Amino acid sequence: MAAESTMRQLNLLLVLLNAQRPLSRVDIFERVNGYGDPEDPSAQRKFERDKAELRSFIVFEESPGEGDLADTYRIDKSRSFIRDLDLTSDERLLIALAVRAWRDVELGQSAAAGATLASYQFLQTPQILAAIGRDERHLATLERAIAAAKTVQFEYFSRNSGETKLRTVQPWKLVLHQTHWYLHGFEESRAKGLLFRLSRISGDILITAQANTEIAPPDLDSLAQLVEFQRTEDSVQTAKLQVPKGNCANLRLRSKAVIESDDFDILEIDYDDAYSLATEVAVVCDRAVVLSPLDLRNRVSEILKSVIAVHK
Amino acid sequence: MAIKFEVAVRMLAFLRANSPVELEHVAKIFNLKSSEVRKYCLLLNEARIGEYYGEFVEVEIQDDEDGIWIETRESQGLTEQIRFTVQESIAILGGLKYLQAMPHLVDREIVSALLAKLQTAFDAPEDIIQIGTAEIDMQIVDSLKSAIAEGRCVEITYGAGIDQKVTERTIEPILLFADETVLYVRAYCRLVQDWRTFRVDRILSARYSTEATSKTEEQGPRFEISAPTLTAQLRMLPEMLESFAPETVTNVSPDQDRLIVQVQVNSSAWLASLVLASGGDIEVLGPDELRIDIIGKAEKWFAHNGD
Repeated sequence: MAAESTMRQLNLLLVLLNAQRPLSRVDIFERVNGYGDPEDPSAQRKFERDKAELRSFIVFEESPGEGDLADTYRIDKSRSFIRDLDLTSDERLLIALAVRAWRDVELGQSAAAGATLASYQFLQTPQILAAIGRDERHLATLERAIAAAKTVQFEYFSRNSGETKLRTVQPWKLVLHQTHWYLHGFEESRAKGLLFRLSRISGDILITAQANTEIAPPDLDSLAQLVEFQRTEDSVQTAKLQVPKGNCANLRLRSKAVIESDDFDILEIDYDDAYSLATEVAVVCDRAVVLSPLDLRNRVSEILKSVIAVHK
Repeated sequence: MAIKFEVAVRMLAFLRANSPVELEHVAKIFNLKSSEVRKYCLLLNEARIGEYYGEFVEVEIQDDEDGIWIETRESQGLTEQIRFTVQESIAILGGLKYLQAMPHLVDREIVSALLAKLQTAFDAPEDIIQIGTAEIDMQIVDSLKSAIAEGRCVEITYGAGIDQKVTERTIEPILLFADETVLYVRAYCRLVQDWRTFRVDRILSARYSTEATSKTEEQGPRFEISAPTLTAQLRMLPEMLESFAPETVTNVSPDQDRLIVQVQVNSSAWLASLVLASGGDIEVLGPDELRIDIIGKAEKWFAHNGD
């Protein structure tokens, strides 16, 4: 029964924590109820399972015996506990918020372990709400793979090639940028670090048995790379657009200056990502006029020609 | 109910750090029923070396007029917080990284100091989760924060995402909250005389008012989900599906490298703008009026801007 094995594991933990010296398997089987005869293979299997369970929390050292001496086991107390963690009330509140923020069930359960560091009254605090990880079904799988340092495989749609192909990736990081989640990892076939948008992964992600061999560069800045990818211009450009009064809010939100007249306004917008700005202009294409530059106007025209092409 | 070793150990650490604590709180934190928490307490009480119960920890459940309380006493061997697993550490630190990227919600300096402290204590891998900071006008956020703290109104110029129209409104803000990297303010809007949730990054300007607020919302903040007014059949690249809230998607089927998706939305203007911005990655299969509307809008562009 699960309760019995949990009880046995708790007792094993207790026995090892209170031991004054490393214990042999016979010592442990004498002190912990539930194992039975040390020579019984089923008892040994139980012990192996319990050791594996403990290892996920505790630094559990197993020393081979010399000569006729038996193997011994001990807990490395200095590495098994979180020590000297003096948290202020503000910090306990922040941990409570961080724990509650995850909406992904599996990540939420992992984070819930942190509740033990937050005073319980803070976990009830409703004044600040924040939520992360909504509707992103691959996050938990990738977090597991990163934690285990295992390679993953998935089908991925490339916008550049327009093809969906199987990718084998050593996962490094999960990145949230402008409401999109990305995986940053080492792609084996191209032998370099790449960013993958999670929404372009089709089907399930497979965590393989293969351990990562490539570690992330220490100065890896995924966000900076994403920003760089989006830049289309060598330097910041300024666009001038004519828009009706009281309208084109999306463009007004990006404008640095507004020149008003009786009938319309002229917006000045700085940009280094022409694609992003052209997309925003396309949203209000029936109302906006691009006065300059011509390149931006052409980009909007290309977007809208594609829209018309698929609808006619 | 499966009794898990991991939960038992974590619960013990929590009980010891917070003794005495209400049983209901423990149940909420560990997402368990009250009866399940009792079972864990019993299990912890029975853990022992040799013959004697209560050697591991003495856990007592007390009923009194204020509720049911759990108290822990003498404990051998487990007086400190056991380290977190790598997976737990990543999730906890990831949640804090998210808060760090939201300086308008919490004090970034305190989060940064806490992250450094936990990173060392957890001995966890660094920066597994990286969160981009949302670009928001801090003056607007400060106006909203002050207004909430002091119970004052704010006059805002707001750009609606549905039709891109700009309106002047007086709002009575009660709460700022974040969803992924988007910041929202919950407020009573005097223009529509009802409660609304506004995206802070769509507020063009905010002027702090001396006028006091008069409304309180009893049910707490929530997103309004109005009844859908339009059912549309779309053909799209799979990644475009993330543009739609899951509750609006009623059917999805594959079509070569695309998806055929049926959605129920409450604004044809919003859907049209999404299709226009997609540059052909979303095609409207029906209704015909929506297709015609989209083509008409795109053609207006060429009429005003030339080919």
